[in-house]
Amino acid sequence: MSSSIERDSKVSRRKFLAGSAVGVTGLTAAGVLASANAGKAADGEPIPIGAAVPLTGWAAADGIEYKRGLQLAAEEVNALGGILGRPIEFHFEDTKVMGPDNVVPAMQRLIDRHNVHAIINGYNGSTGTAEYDLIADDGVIYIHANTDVQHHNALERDPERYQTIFMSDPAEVWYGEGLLSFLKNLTESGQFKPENRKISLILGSDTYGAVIGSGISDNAAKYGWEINLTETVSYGTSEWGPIVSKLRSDPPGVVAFTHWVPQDLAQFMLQFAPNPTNSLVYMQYGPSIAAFREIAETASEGVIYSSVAQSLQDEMGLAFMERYRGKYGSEGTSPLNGAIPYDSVFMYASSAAIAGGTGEPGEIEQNRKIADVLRRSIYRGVMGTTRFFQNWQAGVPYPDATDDPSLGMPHQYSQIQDWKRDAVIIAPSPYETAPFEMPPWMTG
Amino acid sequence: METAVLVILGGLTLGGMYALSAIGLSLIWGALGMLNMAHGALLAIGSYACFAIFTYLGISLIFAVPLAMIAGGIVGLAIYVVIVRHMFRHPSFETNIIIATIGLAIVSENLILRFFGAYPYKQPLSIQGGFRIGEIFVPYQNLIILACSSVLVAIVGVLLQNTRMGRAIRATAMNKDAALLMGVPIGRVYAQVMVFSGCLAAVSGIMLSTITTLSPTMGDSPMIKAFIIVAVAGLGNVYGAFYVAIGLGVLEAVFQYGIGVRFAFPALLLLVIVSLIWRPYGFFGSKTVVRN
Amino acid sequence: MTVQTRPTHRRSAASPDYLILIALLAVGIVLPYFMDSRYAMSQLTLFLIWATVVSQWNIVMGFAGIFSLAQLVLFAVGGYTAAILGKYFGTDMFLGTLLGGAAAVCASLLIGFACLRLRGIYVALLTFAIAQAAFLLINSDTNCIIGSGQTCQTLTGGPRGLSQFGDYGFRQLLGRNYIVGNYYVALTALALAVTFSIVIVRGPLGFAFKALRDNETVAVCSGINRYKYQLLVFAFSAFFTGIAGGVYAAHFKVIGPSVLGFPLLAFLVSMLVVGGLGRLWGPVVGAALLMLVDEQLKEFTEYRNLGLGAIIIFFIVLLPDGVAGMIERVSKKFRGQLGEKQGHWGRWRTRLGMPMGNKLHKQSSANS
Repeated sequence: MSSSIERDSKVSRRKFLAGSAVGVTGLTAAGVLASANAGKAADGEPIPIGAAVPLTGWAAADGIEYKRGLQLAAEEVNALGGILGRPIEFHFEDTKVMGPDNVVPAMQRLIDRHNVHAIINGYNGSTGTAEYDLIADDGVIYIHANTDVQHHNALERDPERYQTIFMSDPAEVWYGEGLLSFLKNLTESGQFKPENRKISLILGSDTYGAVIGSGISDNAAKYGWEINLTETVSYGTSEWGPIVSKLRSDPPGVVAFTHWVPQDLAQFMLQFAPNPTNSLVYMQYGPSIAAFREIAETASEGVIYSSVAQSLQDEMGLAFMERYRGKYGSEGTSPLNGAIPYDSVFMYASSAAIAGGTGEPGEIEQNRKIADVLRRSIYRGVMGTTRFFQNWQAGVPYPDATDDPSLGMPHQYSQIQDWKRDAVIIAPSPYETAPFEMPPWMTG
Repeated sequence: METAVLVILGGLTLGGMYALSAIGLSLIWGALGMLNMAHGALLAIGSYACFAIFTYLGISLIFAVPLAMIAGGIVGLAIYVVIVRHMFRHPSFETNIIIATIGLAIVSENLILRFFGAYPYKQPLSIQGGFRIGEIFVPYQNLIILACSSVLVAIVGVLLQNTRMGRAIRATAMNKDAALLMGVPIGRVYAQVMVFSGCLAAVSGIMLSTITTLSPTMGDSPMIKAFIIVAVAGLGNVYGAFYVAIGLGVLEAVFQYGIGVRFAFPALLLLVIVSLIWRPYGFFGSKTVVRN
Repeated sequence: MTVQTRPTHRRSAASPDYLILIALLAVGIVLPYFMDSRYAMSQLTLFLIWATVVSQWNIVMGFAGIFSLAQLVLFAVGGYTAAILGKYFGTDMFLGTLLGGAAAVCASLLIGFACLRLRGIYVALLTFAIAQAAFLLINSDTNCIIGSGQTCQTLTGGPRGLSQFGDYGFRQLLGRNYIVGNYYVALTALALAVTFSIVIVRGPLGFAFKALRDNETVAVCSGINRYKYQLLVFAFSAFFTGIAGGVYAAHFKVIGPSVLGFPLLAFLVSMLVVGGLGRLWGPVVGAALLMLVDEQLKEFTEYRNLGLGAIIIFFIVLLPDGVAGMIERVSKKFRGQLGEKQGHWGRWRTRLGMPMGNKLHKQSSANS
């Protein structure tokens, strides 16, 4: 099944490159869609699709990018003929500060009021899968990027009931051990000789931060590391003096952050860089947001971070960023984040086209057909490959869960080497764009 | 030694930031008896104004800061004209104004979100460099924050003590009705204080954002800390608020180092709760300022 | 005391309240038969939960004069207690909800001992600090009580909150229409809470507080112990608030720290004010109105909060006694119980900046 999709799409992709009005997208999913639509124009009755994203409140910076990514994808899907000739039309609900009391009603409203055939989100925090039963009752497709291991638990509990729910990115549990194996590669290849085998952990005060942190501390011994310090910090921590002095009193080989707020992390670098220890600094996700570099400037150079939720810097990824910035401007936009729901829209649209059309709430059979296609397919989007674990219906991370780069979403390790430019990807192969460089504050 | 310097330095910076947040709040409470829940919004408005004037209008920072202060003052005046003027005579002004300013905070936070988005912009006003004490690097930025908060406190103090306007403000704070009978134009006093605190908040916001960066919600957390400081100091006591802010900042840094970062702020809150039970009107407060 | 000044009004006041309650209850009971949208049912259930909370908050703030901002802490205590019992001990959610109410009472006594000797704005600040501390402690809760790493379960669930602790079992009973079951549970909670409110407001306690508010010295001299009465009301209202927390947890099948966040606090306080603080039916009216307005504003996604803020300002500036206060004034005017100069127009006159004719109108706002 999946291989035929691949073959189909390559053919159509060439066609697509030759004469598409959208330009070079090079998406496998786009190719599938274009060929399934067989050149039809999207002039049928619009298909309502919902998105419940945080457009206000503290997560609005991400939420606004999600909305942009979804709208860009909808435009491009519609330019390719929509889904079997029907254009898709997004309805947005604001989930404010998220949490179940905001997310559940928002999604219920999308279904009851707008009769949406699918809900495609970026990230909503702290929902505790409260929204899953709501989705399961109507059986619509729900694709989100909540990065939450509870999604695995829900699908283990009742795979039949939740079969139309997909988490487009890998759960956070992969990040912890992923870091340790990245460090192993780095040291074994001789690129980095840690001063000692100690890791200091600075955790963000959310589940995401805590789960990744325990992934690191639980597996540290296995990789020959010891945790010498664990601190939990909250949103808006701008004064790092006490933590820097703790680091200085027992300097570790590696400082690992699971706190992800870019401006907080930038302040750490500004305060750490003039008083450094001989430690590698790793941060989760935050430095991928350009504000990190803009605030910390040269102090940001040398920082390593990882994320799956960002576009690659290959032919497809760069073209996506260009289109994104072309549409929304380059000031105060972050196409890296917009990429998450963007890919999901193409996945959904092409799967629905293959399955013979979308299903409205209550049309459980049709939606389950779409879910079957989604589950079995492999997509190459701007974030790399998306393939779902068959049991968990969550993204497979590469190289954390598969050795084959064509079968998993790259868990990208990036390093900021010049603060004026996007960070370079230093792992995993074959996506790297530059080799690791020793951070300027480190000796030897 | 080195550790102590770093911790104290961090604490002083925190204290300076807390003081910056608390000054305007303390002034408005003391003078007008209003708990301004839009204080955080005023901080954000001031710093976005500075950012916008510099970035979009291309005006030098030397002028951008005063212009942002004027913008803050205008917003303060607008709050008086649109809201406070209609309310301060109402018997439940004290509670109603809290709600009104909550509404105002929601409105201005969302207006900023609409105009600027939620991207964490860098405040263009920031001072690079620093000097070394032994091994430790001390950034100028931190010292400026500390200096700026002390200067603002001093200005407010002098203004309240030594000017005609200050006397009118203090008279109003002591007894609104008596002040009115003595010929103090209360309405004008309210307007003056609102304008003044708007200017103050703009400066505070700009200084805060050099460290916390810009975001529509940037004022929320400083405001919550300012509440606590103002309560511990005794409502309306501007000097007291400054000392308490510095004290709590250093204490928080020591707690962060001693018992761990995550427990520091809750421990501080606990301390505050206990101290308020022990000294219900704050360390520098007196019963007379409190209206019942 | 006030009782003597207007005895006729006072005696007849209790029964209309019960009649209104019965009428509203009747509407509430039949409503689900006319609703086929589950979204609407779910929102109605949420309305009932918030109305329960604000009706109790109103008793605390509007009648007992305790400026507490910790009402949602009590709500959270109720919800978390029910959830924790359900999750770790398999307690039935109905029992859990009741125990949640009891736990909230304990919490309210603790908070009350600490805060109620203070006055006015200091109570507000202190209770706000308590709410913040609770929010921060739950949000940074990373100590596993069961398992570690992937299987780590913290007591409160940290920022993600608690889920998988069961519900009222209506899903098995009613299938897709399970919300109707939750709706009736919430309706019961609200009915009990409002009955309690009527008993407090129209009963001896209500008079005691009125006396304290009108003339504290006289009241204290006639043997009214403010602290004792406030603590009593605070604890009783905590019970229903805690119950509402349990219903919330069972309805959404999850409870997280967002219930302690500032946005919800602001939303519920607005309900109080828009409805009319210190008016018996104010909170219910306010909750209904704000849920409706919020619903309409949802069409405008990004502008929703903006509209909400503007409405709060509009109401507090132009109608500081809320919708209930306005209805009261209008109806009193129709009944001719109030002279023209103290009534409706007098207030408008002062608000429009005209000189205050006399100070009598101030009293009318205190007597509800």
